[in-house]
Amino acid sequence: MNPPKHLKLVKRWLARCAIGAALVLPQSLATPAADAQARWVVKLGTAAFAHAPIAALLAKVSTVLEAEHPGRFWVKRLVDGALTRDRAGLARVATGEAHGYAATFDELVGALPDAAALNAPFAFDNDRDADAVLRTTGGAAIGDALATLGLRLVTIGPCEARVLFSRTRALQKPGDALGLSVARGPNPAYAGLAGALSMTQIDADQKADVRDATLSQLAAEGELLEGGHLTLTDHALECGVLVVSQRWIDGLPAQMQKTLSKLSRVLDGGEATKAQRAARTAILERAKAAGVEITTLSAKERQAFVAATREARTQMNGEAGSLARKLSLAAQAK
Amino acid sequence: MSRIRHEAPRIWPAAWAAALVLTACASNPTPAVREPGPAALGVAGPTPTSEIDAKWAGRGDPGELAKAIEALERAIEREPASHALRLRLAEAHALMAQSIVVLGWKDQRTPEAHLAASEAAALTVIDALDHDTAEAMRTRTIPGTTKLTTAEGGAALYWLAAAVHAGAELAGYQALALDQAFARRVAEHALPLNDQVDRGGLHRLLASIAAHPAAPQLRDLERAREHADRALAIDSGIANTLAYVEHYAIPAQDRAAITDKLQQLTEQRVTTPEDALARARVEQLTARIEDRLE
Repeated sequence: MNPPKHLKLVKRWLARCAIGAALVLPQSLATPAADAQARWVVKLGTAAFAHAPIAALLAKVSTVLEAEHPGRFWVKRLVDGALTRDRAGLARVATGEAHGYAATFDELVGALPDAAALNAPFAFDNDRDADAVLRTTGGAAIGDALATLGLRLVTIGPCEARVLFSRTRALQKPGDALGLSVARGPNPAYAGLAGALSMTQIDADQKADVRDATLSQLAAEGELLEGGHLTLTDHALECGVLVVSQRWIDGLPAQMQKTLSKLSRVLDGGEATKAQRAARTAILERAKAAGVEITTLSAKERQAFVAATREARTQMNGEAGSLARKLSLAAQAK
Repeated sequence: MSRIRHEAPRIWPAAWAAALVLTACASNPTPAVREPGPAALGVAGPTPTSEIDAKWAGRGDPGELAKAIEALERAIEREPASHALRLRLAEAHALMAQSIVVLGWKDQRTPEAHLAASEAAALTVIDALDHDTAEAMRTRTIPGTTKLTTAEGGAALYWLAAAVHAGAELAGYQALALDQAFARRVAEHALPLNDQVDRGGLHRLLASIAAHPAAPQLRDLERAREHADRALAIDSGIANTLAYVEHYAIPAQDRAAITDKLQQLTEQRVTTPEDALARARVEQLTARIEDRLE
């Protein structure tokens, strides 16, 4: 005989309560208490998906915390933008609502607009120079600026250079871009390059003649599947950052603070950069197979772009003492 | 109605996003692509269809699924022009790959090899329908135009997209950076041709890609939810309920939806081997779901 309908409803209600409790209780139980053996909930987030090199940095934070303090941290890795649905991830980490965040370059510029100076067109001659600046003065300047927001910089990376992709013609010299349309970018450096090359900026949701983006972004969007012209300008640098909340660190027991202060020595964003760059050759091979014409600039051709964009770089130098000025000076010193 | 259902059947629609491979296969190819009868196979004696059907019915067992694959391969040797057999073979290889990964099945071939075989079977059907499209897709490029217009072509495109995406998921970031956009574009082309293939598998795949793209700026959770909803409308089974949780509710941190769908999952019965596979994934997910919720 079938159970009466009301019994079914009660059963369903009880099951729903059990699921709700299973979702809510662990959180409340895990709130750190004065008890030295309390388990600390650590919320780490990123807008990237779980496979991305930048997300791999979060996995390494978990590994370090677990190795140093077994069972004392409950690390929640919130990938796919799960931490950022209503507020920027870096802002949430700054207030201590979340504890660590692997931010994309756009998110970094959202919190620190002067960091856009890293994007100044043709500021770096090559990857090696850029890496050197980020490991030394440039990285230190970004770390200092993040500290004013309550964020402790753990590492910079992954970094990737932007290139130009044209649907209409190859861009081998600055004049080739004259009159072509390009989408508005998320920071002033995009406008600087567009102006210097006499391109017309249009809204990002419109189909532009030229894309100013990283290779992995172009590949992910499917831009390289149907031919076109790719110029390996490597004209601007985009870097992610991994930060932790200073407010959170300050509230932890001394031993745990020590572990977190060591994170920057243990984690190397350069490894994430290598993983990102490793995809470059494969992307280029695939693009070639799809009929994309790939242009590598000679030193002389690149110099023509460097000269054409001088004014755009100057405009991003910023005021004396600013992060923008520090990054510009660091880039020029190379 | 959702945006998806309003969309005109564009040949190569513009960008959405990219990612989870393991949701790609379930059961039941296409209503329009049924196993051919003995007459269609043109052989006498014990019908390959009966043999395959018998093996296929036992596909919840590793040995039986392996035998089903062998039986399909033999049947294809006898009837190389049968698209239905090749589509079933693509499905069988995809199921085997997923079962090895999720259930820990042992097999002589790796999941990667099964996915490559699934891709090859789908491409053979595409080749028979439109050689130029198949040639382009073999090099992971998208042709400007295509002659694929049938539900059978849609099913072949789906199994190709699912195998490519699943293989990239197994291989990691670099493969996804390369192949996710291709899989998405192929799946988008299949959409107007055959959106019910694999009990909503095409929508599961597109929901996955929309929720977990290789480039974060391409994430579109609204699109992911629409695909997950459409998959559920096609088949309200475990695989599609799980897809809703994984590709919408968790990224959106929608606890109410998670509670609701987990409740439904506890009530849903396992009726097919594909359900059993999905159930195993539900158990893996629920065991650590709190790690993924704020």
